[in-house]
This record gives sequence, C-alpha cells and structure tokens, in this order.
Amino acid sequence: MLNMILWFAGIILSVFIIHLLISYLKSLFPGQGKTYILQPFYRLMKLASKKNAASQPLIQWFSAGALWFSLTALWLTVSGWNIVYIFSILIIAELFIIAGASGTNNSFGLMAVQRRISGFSITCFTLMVAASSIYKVTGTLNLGGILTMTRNKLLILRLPFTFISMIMVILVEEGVCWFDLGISGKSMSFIDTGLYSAYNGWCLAVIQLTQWVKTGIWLKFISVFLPWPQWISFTVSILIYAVLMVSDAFVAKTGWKKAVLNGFIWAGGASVINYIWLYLANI
Amino acid sequence: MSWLAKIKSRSISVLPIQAGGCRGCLLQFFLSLSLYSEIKGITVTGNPGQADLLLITGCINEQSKKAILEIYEKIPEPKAVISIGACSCSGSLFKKEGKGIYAAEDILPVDAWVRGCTPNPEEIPGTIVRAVECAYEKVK
Repeated sequence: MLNMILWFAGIILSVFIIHLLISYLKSLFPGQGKTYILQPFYRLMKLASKKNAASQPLIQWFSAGALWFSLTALWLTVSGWNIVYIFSILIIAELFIIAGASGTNNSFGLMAVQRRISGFSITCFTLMVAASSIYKVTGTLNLGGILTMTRNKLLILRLPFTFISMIMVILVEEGVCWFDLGISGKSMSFIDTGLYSAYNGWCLAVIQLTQWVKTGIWLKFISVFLPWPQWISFTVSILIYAVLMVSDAFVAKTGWKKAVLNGFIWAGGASVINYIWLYLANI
Repeated sequence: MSWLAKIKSRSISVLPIQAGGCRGCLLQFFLSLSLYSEIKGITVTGNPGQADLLLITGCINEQSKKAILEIYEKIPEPKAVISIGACSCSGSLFKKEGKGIYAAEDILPVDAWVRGCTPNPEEIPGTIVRAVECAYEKVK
C-alpha cells in the first residue's frame, strides 16, 4: 500500500517537475518569452486564486469530474489493474473536458472540440490495437501482471512498434510536434488554448492538474515496455517525453487535417503493423 | 506586498487589443517582450477567460468600444487594464476631429498608462507587472 501511495505521489510530482524543466528550456530558445523556472507553478497558483467567470452552468462539475476520473485512473494504474478498464476511465475524463468545452458559445472553442475529438479517435484506435497485441504476448491485460513479465518476455523486442505507437499517442494527447491539432498553420494563434476556452479561473487550474495526471498515466504505460526496474524505466520514459516536448520547438507545423492523418498513419499504423507481425511470426 | 500576490503576479497573461490606428504601439509591446529579459513571465493570450490584463492600444471608436467592453466582462477577477500610446491614453489628435473617438479611461477603469507616440518599449513590461500587482493588492 505504501509503495502504491509513493508511486501515486511520485508520478504527479515528477510530471510537475518535468513540466517546469520543459517550460524553462523552451523559453531559452530565440524569440521566446522569458520565463521563471517555476513558471508553471506560478501559473497554477494564479489560476487557482482567480474567480470563475464562466457563464454556462455545470462547468465547475465538468472540470472537477475530469480531475476525479483521471486521479482514479492513476490510482488504478499504480495498483496494476486491467489496462482496458484504466483506458475506459481515462476516456470518461476526456469526455468530461470535451463536454465542458462544447458548452461554450465561443466558435473557436467549438472548433477546438471538433479537433480534440479527431485526436481522441486516434488515441482510442491505437490503444485498442495495442491492448490486443499486449494480450497476445503476455496473456494478461492486468498492468501488474504485464510488469512482472516485462523482463522475462522482453516486451520492447516483441512490441517495438506498439511502444512507438504509445509514444505517438502521448504526442497526439499533448498536441505537439507533427500532431499539433490545436495550433495549425492555417488557424489563428489563439486556437492553441481553444479547448480550454470554456474554462477559466480555478476551473482552468483543475483542468491543468488533470492534464498533468493524464500525462503521468501515459508515461507509466510507456515505462511498462522497458525491461529495467520500474523506477528506472519510468525515468527513461520521462526523458523521452522531455526530449519530444522540447523538440516541438523545431518541428514545422501542418494544417490540422494533415495532423490527424499523420496521427492515424504513425500511431495507428505502428500499432497495427506490430499486431500483424505478431500473428505472422506466431509469437 | 504579500508573498502570495508576488508569486501570482509572476505569471501574467496579457490580452492585447488593437482598437484602431497605426499598430505602432502594439509593435512596441511585442518588441518590449523580446528585448527586455529582466522582466519574465509575461505571455500573450487571445482568450479573455485566461487573461489577467487588458492592454488597449489605438483610437477607440464606437465599434471597438462595444467589443472592448464585451471582452472586459469576460476577463475573470482580479484583472487590470492598461492603456498604451497617445491614441488610447487621450484620443490624441483624432479626438479633435469629432465625436465617436474615446480614450480608454472614458469607457473602462484604467490602472496604468504608458504615454507617447510611439510609447517607450522599456516602460511597458514594468507597467504591466505593477498594474497586475496592484490588482491583486486591491482584492486583498
């Protein structure tokens, strides 16, 4: 139990720290606004102290619900539950955010919802195929069971494309690099926070926390594929994530429809290739 | 000033509005963000719900007045308003041409002004930070 609590707190804390680092590194690039090292923390404190000026009802419940379900999913992740069950809870958290955002009268918010649903469909498809591949190799869908078999079965060697597709899923979820569904070359710059246009004040702070918790869950999933002890694997997955997030500053943006196509080809495609390969090689 | 207010004012989202005019003041604002690295933590947003400060530049006419008031209502409390440049501070020479041109303080409670045509970019980041600090102090 203590181990699970430590993992739960450790994942949230490590994602928070890595975001501090990413934010600071990005600010060092030419042409970027200068920030403090603790900038994401300052932003969170500021948002938490602000009033919620939202006009639509239930917006507080949508943000609180999203955080609740993402925290539940994180707890189940560190407890080693069935990954399909964890994905289902994550989907509910995502639907809470989308439902809240779709209540806005802002046309940019509605446009962002449309794009988020496109990204969401990539995530769901990839996870569905990835779960099938994992079951084929390990014979279980329990995260705890998969973790014990990681080293014996060398998941990274049997599921290399599934591993890559999981990394792509993180990029799609965060909307960075080639999968930037938010800021696209053809849209206005303030689309980047369009999905959260319905949220403001402390509700936005809650949504920010939800985002960090979800990132922690994805990183934990990625670490499952790596053959080292859990904490080393998790650190490696965090480093991969940090490199990809910082590299976002160098990657050219495309239109959002192209980004969705990229997402299906890279994330979904990699996942499907590994699934077919498992059957052909009869692993 | 309390440490909490100081922490909160280290992350400032500015919503710039070009009410009308030559856009020189807006250019000076963006120039100030990239030139003066001693002032940190100022970001630009286009979403009123996530803004802390409304930065008004240019001459305000009947049409832009309506839009500015609508946007101001959507910014959550505590919030600050600053007026940049001669046009938004006083209406400048355009006010003499007739009715329908407003200074920022005619329509909104302005917290700070940076005068000049064009305004000095060195003064803008410091003014933004001080205006937001004052807004947090007022709430306290």
